[in-house]
Amino acid sequence: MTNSTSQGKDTADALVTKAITATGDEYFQSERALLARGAAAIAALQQRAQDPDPVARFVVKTLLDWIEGRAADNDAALQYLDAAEKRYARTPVGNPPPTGVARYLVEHYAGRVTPVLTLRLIKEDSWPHWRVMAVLFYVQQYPDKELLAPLTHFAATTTEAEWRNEAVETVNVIRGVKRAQSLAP
Amino acid sequence: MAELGEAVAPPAHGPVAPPPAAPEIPRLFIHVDANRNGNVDDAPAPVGGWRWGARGSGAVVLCNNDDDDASGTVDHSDNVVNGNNDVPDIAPLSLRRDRAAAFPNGWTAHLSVSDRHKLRIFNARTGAGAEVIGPGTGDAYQIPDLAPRDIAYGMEAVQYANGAWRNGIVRITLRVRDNQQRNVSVQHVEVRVAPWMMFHHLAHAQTVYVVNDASAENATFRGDLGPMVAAAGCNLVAHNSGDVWMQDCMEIGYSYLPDRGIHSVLRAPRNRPLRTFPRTLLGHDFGYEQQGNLMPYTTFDSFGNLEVSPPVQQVRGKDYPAGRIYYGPGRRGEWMDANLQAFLNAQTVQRPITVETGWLTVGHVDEVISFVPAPGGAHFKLLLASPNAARRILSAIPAAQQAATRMMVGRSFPFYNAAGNYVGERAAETDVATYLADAPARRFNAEVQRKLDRIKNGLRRQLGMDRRGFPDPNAIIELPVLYMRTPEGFADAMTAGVVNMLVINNHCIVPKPFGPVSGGVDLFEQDIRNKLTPLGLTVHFLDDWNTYHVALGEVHCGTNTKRQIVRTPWWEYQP
Repeated sequence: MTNSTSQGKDTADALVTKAITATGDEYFQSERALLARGAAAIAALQQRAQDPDPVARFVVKTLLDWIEGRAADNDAALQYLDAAEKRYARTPVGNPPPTGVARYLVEHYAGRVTPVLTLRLIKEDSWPHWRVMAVLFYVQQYPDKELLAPLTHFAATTTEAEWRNEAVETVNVIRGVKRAQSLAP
Repeated sequence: MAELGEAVAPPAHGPVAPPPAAPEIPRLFIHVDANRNGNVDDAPAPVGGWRWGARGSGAVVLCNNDDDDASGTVDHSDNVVNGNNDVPDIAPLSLRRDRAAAFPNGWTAHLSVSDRHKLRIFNARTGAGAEVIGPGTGDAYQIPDLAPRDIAYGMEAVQYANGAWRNGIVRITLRVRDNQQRNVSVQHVEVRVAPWMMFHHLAHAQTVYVVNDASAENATFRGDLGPMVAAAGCNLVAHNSGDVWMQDCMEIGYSYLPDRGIHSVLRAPRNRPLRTFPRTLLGHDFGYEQQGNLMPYTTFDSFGNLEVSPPVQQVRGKDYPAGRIYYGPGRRGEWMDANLQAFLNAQTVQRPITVETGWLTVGHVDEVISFVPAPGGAHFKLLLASPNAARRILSAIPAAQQAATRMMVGRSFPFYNAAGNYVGERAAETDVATYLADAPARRFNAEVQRKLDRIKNGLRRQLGMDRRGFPDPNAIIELPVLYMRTPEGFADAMTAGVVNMLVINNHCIVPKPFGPVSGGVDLFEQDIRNKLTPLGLTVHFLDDWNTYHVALGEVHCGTNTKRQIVRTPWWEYQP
């Protein structure tokens, strides 16, 4: 192994570690860097695929699926959230309605973007209320046990009572304890 | 012990003096305006609690939230009467001795209140009055000099009834003690803070507020609006802001004492640039109030979502002489601020109705409901948006002419790219044949009509319009509006939301609908004129398409109104 390869691998490892542990801008820098590396980041991610921490495994799997092309709608879904925010800012509503955003995601992506949006849910540290609620409402429509760990983590760490309650509701839906509420207006 | 029925009841605790044996020993009583005629009663304040009704009793105090001394702060925020202009806002309270004889040496009298954080008592009802009971002093006060036969005090409330103080009542107690500190007499009096109330559309309008956002389209809108507002006898006031939703930032209401009222603007808990505007209205006889948290806010916290009906009677046996408030409570993840809802409920006299508007993108009640004055027993008509009314007009066009009949002529909707940036316009114009053949649009509008029918039936019940003997069997007028489904699955008005109009002094300033045009006539406009003009209303159509409609609002959303206070004996209401 050459120095440069070793250095590159170490860097990728560091990026993966940061992606697992960091939030906010620090996380996004690592996410962008890993996505930009593409195949070069895969090995480093795969090394953490069996991490004992289920939240870490979820982060790694979501990023791997994204890099390896198994999550083709991720970028479009994230772009939609940004676009909706701009569109609604001009209206009396001000912010996109969470149930409507969830409904849009269901209609356009079915359950395909639940991992990336759950990833963003736990990594963003400045998401507005509408995004948090929209993602939780959406995720409830596609109960996926792989999302249990990150959603439980979110419920345990958020300081907003309404978000915590909805995250707990989502966990209960995934566990089959509760049924998802309809998104119909 | 002095006697005044239950009002001079034995104290619950403490030593009790024997009844005064000598007839020359006077008694001291609280006198207030318990009969609500604007003057202190000759008779002592009556026994029992504050009672509603025309034959009820109990004094009213004002939440003194105007600024009579131009200090820039509400008058109840300090511990003095704020000059002579403030005196009429101060409710009278007198202590009167019932005979000329003086009290024996060593006797004392004490006033106290059940909650000094709700009510302030001043040592005089003059411009120089200072607090003796209240937030800055304490909840009890010993009368310093019992020599005067009549000792005048003043009262102001320092807050409205709210979720934490639902009945708006404060109990005032007067104790007279002998020279051994034994209670000789105890009198309890209840006073109630006047509620914050909203103006309905039948109230005389004085001033219309609008935003100047410095754009050319806004200038045209205001230029068109000005003569219409002037024709209705109102002033138009423009405020510079980039936030064009004037209706949403505030509700100009009022509070009424037995002899007078003050305006009181309620700021919406809505964290957008116009949040600072309502406070600029604070002034002499113009109060300022805020309820709820600015963050996080939802669309349901905006006051296009807060309206009131005209007066209605015999609603399940109750009258609402000041109308009933109505609002959309919200939808999952977006509820109206709970403190705001509790505040509205606590005002009691305009007991709120909730209306299911969560299916609309914006979700404001003004989008689909309005009221106009009308001759006849009910004095009003209820206006509702109706896709069915619109389709009836379209379907009545002879089939052979439908393809040639255009609607939304020359109109367009803004088009945004995937990044949310404006990239151009999408033509809205179509012909009637094409529109009528659009099955998804037909199904969607039928669904919207079902939701509007539920609103209609709910309002009929809650406003007593369904009762036998309601004076106007045709009190509901449906106006044509076609809806479209948004990417998020909500409903937006496609043609202008004509119900979302400004109603001032028998003038209706209606969003220009851009309905189907036949023979040079807009058939939606014609329908609206035919329905409203016979009521004695002057109908103006104002083009707000590019300024408000495409941004999901209409004329009403872009304006706000100050109306004239009229005598409102809200205490006669029986909740």
